Amino acid sequence: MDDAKQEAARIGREIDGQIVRPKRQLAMVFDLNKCLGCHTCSIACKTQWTREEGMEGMWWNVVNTLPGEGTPKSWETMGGGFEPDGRQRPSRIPGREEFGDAWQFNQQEVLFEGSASHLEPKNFKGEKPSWGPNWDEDQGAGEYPNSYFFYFPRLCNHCTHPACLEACPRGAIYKREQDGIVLIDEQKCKGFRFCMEACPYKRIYYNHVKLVSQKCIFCFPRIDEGVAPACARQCPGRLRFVGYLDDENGPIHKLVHQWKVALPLHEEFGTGPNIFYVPPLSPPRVTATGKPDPSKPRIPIEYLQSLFGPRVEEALRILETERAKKARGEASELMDTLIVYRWPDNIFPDLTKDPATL
Amino acid sequence: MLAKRVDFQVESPGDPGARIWERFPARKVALTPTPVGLQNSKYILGKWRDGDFGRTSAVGLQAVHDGAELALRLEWECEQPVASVDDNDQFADGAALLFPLSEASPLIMGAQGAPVNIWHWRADRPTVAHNNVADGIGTSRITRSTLITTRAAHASGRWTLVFRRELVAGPPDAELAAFEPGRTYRVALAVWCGANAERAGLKAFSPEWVELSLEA
Amino acid sequence: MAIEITRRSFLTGAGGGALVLSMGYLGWRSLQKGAPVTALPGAGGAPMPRVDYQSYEDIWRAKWSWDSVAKGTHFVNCWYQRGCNWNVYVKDGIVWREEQAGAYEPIDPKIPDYNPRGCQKGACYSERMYDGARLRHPLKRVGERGAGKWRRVSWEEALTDIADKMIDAMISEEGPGSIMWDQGTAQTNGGAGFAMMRTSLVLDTPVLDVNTEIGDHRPGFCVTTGKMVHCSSSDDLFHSDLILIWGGNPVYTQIPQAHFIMEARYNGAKVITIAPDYSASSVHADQWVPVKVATDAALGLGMAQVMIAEGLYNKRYVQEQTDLPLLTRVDNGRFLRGKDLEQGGRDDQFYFFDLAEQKLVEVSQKTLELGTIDPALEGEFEIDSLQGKLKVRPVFAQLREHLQQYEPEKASALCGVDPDTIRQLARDLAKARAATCISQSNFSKYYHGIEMERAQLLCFALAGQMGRKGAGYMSFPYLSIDGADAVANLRGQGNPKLQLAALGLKMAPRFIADKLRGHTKEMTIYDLAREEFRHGAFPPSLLWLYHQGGFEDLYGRSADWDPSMKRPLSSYMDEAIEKGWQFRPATRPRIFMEAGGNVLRRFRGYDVMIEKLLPRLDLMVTIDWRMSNTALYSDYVLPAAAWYEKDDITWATPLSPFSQVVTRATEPVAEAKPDWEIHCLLLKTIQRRAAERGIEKFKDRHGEERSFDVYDQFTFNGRYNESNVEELLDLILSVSTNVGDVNWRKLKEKGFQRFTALGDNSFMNIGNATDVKEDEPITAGLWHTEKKMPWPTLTRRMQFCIDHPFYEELGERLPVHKDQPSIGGQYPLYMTGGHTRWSIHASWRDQKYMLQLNRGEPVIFMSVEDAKARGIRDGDRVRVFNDISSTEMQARVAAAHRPGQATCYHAWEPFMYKNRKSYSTLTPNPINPVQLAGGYYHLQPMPALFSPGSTDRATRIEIERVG
Repeated sequence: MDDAKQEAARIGREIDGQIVRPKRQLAMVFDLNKCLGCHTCSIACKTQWTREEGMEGMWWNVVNTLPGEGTPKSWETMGGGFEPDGRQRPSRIPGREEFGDAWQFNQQEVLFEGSASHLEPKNFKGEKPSWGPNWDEDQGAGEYPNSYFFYFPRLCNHCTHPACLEACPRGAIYKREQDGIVLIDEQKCKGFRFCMEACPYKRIYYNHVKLVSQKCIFCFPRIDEGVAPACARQCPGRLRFVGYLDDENGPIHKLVHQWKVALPLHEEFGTGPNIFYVPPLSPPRVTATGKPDPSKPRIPIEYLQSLFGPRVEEALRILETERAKKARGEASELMDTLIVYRWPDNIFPDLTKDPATL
Repeated sequence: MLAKRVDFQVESPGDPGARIWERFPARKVALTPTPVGLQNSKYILGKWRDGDFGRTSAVGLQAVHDGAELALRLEWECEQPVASVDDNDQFADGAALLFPLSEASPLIMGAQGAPVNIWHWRADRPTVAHNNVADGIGTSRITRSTLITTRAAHASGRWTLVFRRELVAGPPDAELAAFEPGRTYRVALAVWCGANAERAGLKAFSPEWVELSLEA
Repeated sequence: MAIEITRRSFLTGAGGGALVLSMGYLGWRSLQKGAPVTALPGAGGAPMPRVDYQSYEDIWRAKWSWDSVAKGTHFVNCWYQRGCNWNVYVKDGIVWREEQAGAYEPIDPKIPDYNPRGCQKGACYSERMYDGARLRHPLKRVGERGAGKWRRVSWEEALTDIADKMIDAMISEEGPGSIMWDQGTAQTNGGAGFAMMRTSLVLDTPVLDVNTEIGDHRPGFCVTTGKMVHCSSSDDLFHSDLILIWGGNPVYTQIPQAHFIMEARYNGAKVITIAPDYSASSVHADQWVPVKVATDAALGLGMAQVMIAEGLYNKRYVQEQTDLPLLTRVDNGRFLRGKDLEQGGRDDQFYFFDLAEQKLVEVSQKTLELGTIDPALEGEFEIDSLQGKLKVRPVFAQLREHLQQYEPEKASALCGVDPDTIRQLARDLAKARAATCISQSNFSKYYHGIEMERAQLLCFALAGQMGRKGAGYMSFPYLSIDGADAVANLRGQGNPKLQLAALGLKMAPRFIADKLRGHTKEMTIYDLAREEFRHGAFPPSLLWLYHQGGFEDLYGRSADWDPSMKRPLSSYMDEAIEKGWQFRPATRPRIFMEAGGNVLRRFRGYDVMIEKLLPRLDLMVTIDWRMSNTALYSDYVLPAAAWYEKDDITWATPLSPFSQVVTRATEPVAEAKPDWEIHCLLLKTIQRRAAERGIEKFKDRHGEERSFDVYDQFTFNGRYNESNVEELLDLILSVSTNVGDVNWRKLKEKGFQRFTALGDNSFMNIGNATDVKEDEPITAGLWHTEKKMPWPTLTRRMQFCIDHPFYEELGERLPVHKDQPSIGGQYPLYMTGGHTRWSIHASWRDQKYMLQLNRGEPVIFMSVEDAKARGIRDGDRVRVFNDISSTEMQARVAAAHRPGQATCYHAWEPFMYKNRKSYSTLTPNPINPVQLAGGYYHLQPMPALFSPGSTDRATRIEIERVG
C-alpha cells in the first residue's frame, strides 16, 4: 500500500508513544454565556444530515441542560477514553432508550382516521418513552432560590487522539490530514460498535438500518467549500466559533491559547478533544428574600472544575475582569472577540461563504 | 474428514434436521478463543484482556456433496441464542467457515498475498451467508454476491446450521474457494456468541486446519 | 483457485496456526507488563488498515446538493421574535431544507449586526410542511365534530356548499353580521391578511379583534401612554448599561435577537432578570430577583417610592413628560380642569403651579416644551375656583403620599423581595446611563396586569429612562409595510391607487383641522381608528364570546374571586355598554370562518366553547395548512399553501425592523392553494351562486343594500385576482411609504428590506413615535423626548393619574398593587404560563422534532418542594384541577422552579390531551371590570386595545398524582 495512504491511516493513533497529528486541526469554541438552549444547532444538523431511514434517532449535535444526565442518559459515568498509561478505559454501548430514540406519533389516527383520541409518543419498543435527547431541559440542580443550570451544546470532539479510532479493529475510522476531522468510513464499518463503547463522550450512534456506526462529520462537505458547519452557521446565539487552532489571528487561537478562556470538556478522558467551552458566568446566590449573596458563586466551582478542570476559575476571573473594563468604557479585545460585531467574518473567518452562492 | 457423495435429489441436506445428517458421524472440532494479542484494537486489547469470550469449546462438523453442490452442517452449544438485534448493545450469534485461497494463507484471517475466503452466517440474517475475502486481521470485506444458502435451527440449547454452495460458484479467481470431487481441502471454523457481545475478533475459532476431502 | 493440500503445505499451514498462537501469547505478556499496546498492531499478524477514503467522502458530498434556492420566512405570528430571512433549498420538486441567509447589512460598525436571525422552529419547517398533520385536500366532516372522520371533496363542491350557506346567512334576518371571521396567527399582513380584510369588507362580515383576547394588549402601557405600540430595535440594547428583563423570557421567546442582550452584557451592561422562577433568561443575568407570582406591581411601586424618597428621580423628565406636575384637587383627587375654574371651561385643560412665576399656569396641550415654566412637584396650593377656594396639589405630591404604603419594608411583605434589594434596584435604575426594560405581553395576561405595567412605567418615568439611545420600555412591538390595510379597506371597483389618492384628499382637511386644535397626527389616526371601531367591523372576541358565545357565566365570574368588586361584572358590563364605552356584538353567530387561526386552542374556557358555542353554529370552516384543533372540529377544512409555497409579504416589528417575504419556492402540495387564491375563489363562487340563485342584493349590517358582485369589488373589477398575486404585492409595496423604493421583484430576490420610516398609513406603526435612520438603531419615543410631541393621552403626557369612575371605584386612580384573586377557587398553586421555546402558538406543538426535544406530550413544571409534598416524581402523570375543570399532564419537577408556582407553557393542542381536556379548560378568564372603562379621551376601544383582555395567568390549581 502506498506511503501516503499508510501515513493517513496513522493520523490520530498513538504509535511508539507518540500521537500522530494531522497537518492542521479544525476546532470549535462554544461560548456558554451566549447559549440560549434553543437547539437551532441540533435542528440544523438534523435537517442537513440525519433524516434518512435509520438515522431518525440521531442527534449528532445536541444541547443539554447542565447539571443533568444528558444525552445519552448519564453518559459521563459510562467510561471510555484513555487511562494515563495509554490503555483504553473499558466502557459500554449506550442503548437507544438512553439516547432517547426517535418516537413515533399517532398523528394520522388522531387527525385523519378518527381511530385514536389523542396524540401519544411511542419509542422503538412501542412503549411510552422514559428518556429523550433533551429530557431534563431547564430543571437544573441546587435548592430554590439558589437553583442553577446552563446550556451545553455537545457534538463529536474530533479528538486529537480519538478513542473511537483506536478502538475500531477495522481501521474504518480515520482523521483527515488537512483538518483533523474524524470520520467513520461506512464502506469499511461492519457495525461492531467498539467505537460507541470507546468514545468517552458517547457521541456515536448506531444505524439499525444500514448496520453501521454514524456521528458528526463536522460538515466536511461544507468545510471543503469554505462554508461553516450547519450548526455553527445557523446558530442565532452567535456562540459557535469555528477555525484552525494554529491560526493566530483567528478567534479560536485567541480564545483557547491567547486568552485561555476556552477549555476542553473532561480533558481527563485523555482523547484531546477539539471542542472548547467558554465557561458559564452566573448571577450571585441570593438569600431567601432574593438579596444577592456574593460570598459563594451560584454554580459551585467544584462542579465546573469537574467539567472543565482546574483552570476554570481563572477563566471566569478573566471574563469578569475584561467585562469590568468594558463597563468602565475601556477597551477589551477579549470582549470584542466574544461580542462578534460582524457575522460571519468575526466568528468563522475562514468559512464565510453562503452556501446559496455556491 | 470425508464429505460423502450423495444424491441431493433423493435426500436433501438443506434442513439441519434432515435425515441425511443422521447417517454420517460428526467430526468434533475443538475451538479456542481468538488470541487477545491479535485484536487489532487497543480498546479490545484492554477490555477483553482477560479473554472472557470465545467460550464455545467445540463444533460438530459434517459435510456432504452431490458433485455439484457442497453442504456443511455445524452444531454447537448456545444457551442464550440471539437471533435479532433491536438495541445498540445487542449482537447476533454467528458462525463462519474459512477456506485458504493460497497455500500460505494463515489460518487467522489470511495475510497480504495469502487471502482467505470466509462464509459468514449471522442469526439475524438466517438464510444467506456473506461471502468475504480477507488478507489480514480487520480486512475482511464482502465480495460480489455469491449465493451461499443457510438454514439454522436452535433447539435445546444448541444451534444447528447448514451451509450450501455450488462447488464452483463462479469464474475461478483469487476471491472464491472452489472445490472438485476427489480432492482434499482445508477449512477452519469460528463461532460468535451474541449473548456475550461477541463480534469481530471476539469469537471462538479452530486453531488447526480441518482437512476436508470430497468423495470422488 | 483451489489449493490441493500436499503433505508439506499442510504442515506449513499447521505451522502457521502455531505461529499465530505464540504471537497471541506474546501479546498476553506484553499486556501484563503494561508495555505500550501500540507495539502490537503492525508487529505481527495485524497490518495497518488500507486507506482509500475519497470515494467514501463523496457519498456525503453528494447528499449536500439542491436544485434551486428561494427566499422565504415563516408566515406565522411569532410577534416579538418575528421576521427572519431564510434561504429555502429545493431538491426534486420539494423543499429539502432551509438555512438562514445571513444577509442583513451592518448598520453601524460599532454595533453587532442582526445575522443570522432564525430559530429551531423555522429551521425545521421543511420537515413540518410535509408531515402527518399537513392538509393536502379539501375535507368535509363525516363524523361527529372532532372525531377526525373526513370525506375528501373537490374545491368546487366545498366552495359551492360554503358559498350557498354564506349567502343564506347574508340574506337571513341576522344578515352578514352572523358570519364571523377569525384572523389567526397565519394572518400576518401582506396578501393573506389583505384578502381576509377585504373579504370581510365586501361581504360586510365582522372579523374578531383578537388582540385583547389573546392578552397581547399591554393595558397598563395603554392607560399610561394612550397607545400600545412603542418599542425600540433590539440592537438599541447595545447602547444600554442596564437591562431589566421584567415581564418576559426573551431567551425562550426572542431567540433570533437574544444575542443582543448577551453582547450588551459583554459590552458592560448589567442584566437583571426579575421573575418568580430561575428562568432561562435568568441564566445569563448578572442578578436574578425572585419575586412572588403576580406581585410585580408591589415591587415596582416599592422602587418608585425609593426613587422619590431618596430624591433619585429625574426631575426634568418628570416635569416635562408626565402628568405628575399636573395639579389635582385635594378634595376628590381628580385633576384640576378648566371647567373647575371658569364657566364653560374645558374638560381637558390642566394646570401647573409654576415655581418661577409662583402662579397657576395652563398646561399646553400642543407641546411638552416647558420653556421657562418650572412646574411644582410638591406643595399644596389654594386657588379660586367656581366652587370657591380649592386646595390643589400636584399628582406627584399625591403620589408621594400614596406610595408610603409601598416603602421597601411594606412592599417586601407583598412581593417577597428583600427591602435592600428593592432599594438597590431603584438606585440602579435611577443612576443608569441608559436602561431598557425588556417586557413582553406577559403582565397583559394577569387579572391585575394593568397595575403591574403602570408600576413598571412609573419606575421608568421617574428614572427618566425613556426616549434616549439605549433607554426605554419595550411595549408592544409593531412596524410593518403600511400599504396593505389602506388598500384592503377601499370600497368599490375603481383603480385602488386613484381611490387612495381621493381618500387622501378627503382626509386632508381633517388632519389640518386637528393639527390646528393641537392634535398630533398620532392622535388623529387613533381618533379615526376609534370611529372605525364603533362601526363594529372588529368585535373584540371576549365581548363577542361573553354576549354571543355562551361564555357570560364563565368570563363573568369575576366578583366570585375579586374582593375589590362591589358589584357583579354584569353590572359594570351593562354600564359600560349603556354609556357607549364598550360595544355589544348583537348578532347571533351562524357561520364561523377560521382563517389561519386556532380558536379551539386559543379561547380560554375550552369546555364552554365545545358545549355552548359550537352547537350554535350552522357551519364552521377552517383555512389552514395543518390540521389544527380548530380544523379538527370544523365542517369543512380548506388546505392552504405552506409558507414556502406562496408569494407574500409578512409584517414585522421594530425589534427586527425588516419587512420579510415568503416566496413560492415550490408548488403547493397536492390540492393546497395560497390564502389569497382561496379568498378570490370563495368570493367568485359566492357571486356565481348568488347569480345562479337569482339573488342580487343583501342588506349590510347598517341596513344598506349591497349587490352580490362581491368578486368584482374584491378584485377591483378583476385587476387583482387569483392568478396575479404578485401584481397585488407590487401594488401594496407601491402604496407603502416606509420601505423605500422597492418593488416585489426586488424584494422577492433579496428576501427582506429594512424600514425607512414608520409610514403614513398604519395606525399601529405610529406609536413608536420616532424617525428611522439607516445607520442607527431605532429608539422609540424620540418624538416625545426630542420633538416634545405630546403623548396621545387625556393630559397629553405619560399619565399615572386616571380619574375615571371605574378606576376610582376600584381604587386604581393611582398605580396600586392588588393581590391576585383566587381565580379558579381556593387552591394552593398558581398556574403561570408563557410562550414556549418549542413552538410558535400551536404551529409546531405536534411537530416530531420539537416533541422529541421535549417530552413528547404536554408537561407542567413544578417545584421540588411542591412535588415532594404531593409524592410526585419527575415524569409522573398528574391531574391538574380546580373548580372549573381538570386535565392530565406529565409533571416536570425542576429545581429552578418556585414553590407555589406551576408552569404550563403555551399552546398545547387539545388533541394532545386525554379526553381533549387541555390546560385551557382550567382558566375561567374572568374579565377585570377596569378594562371595561371608556368615554375618557384615551380610554376608548379601538382595534387591538382598550377592550377587556384575558386573565388566565396565575389561575389557582391543585396537582395530584394519577394512579
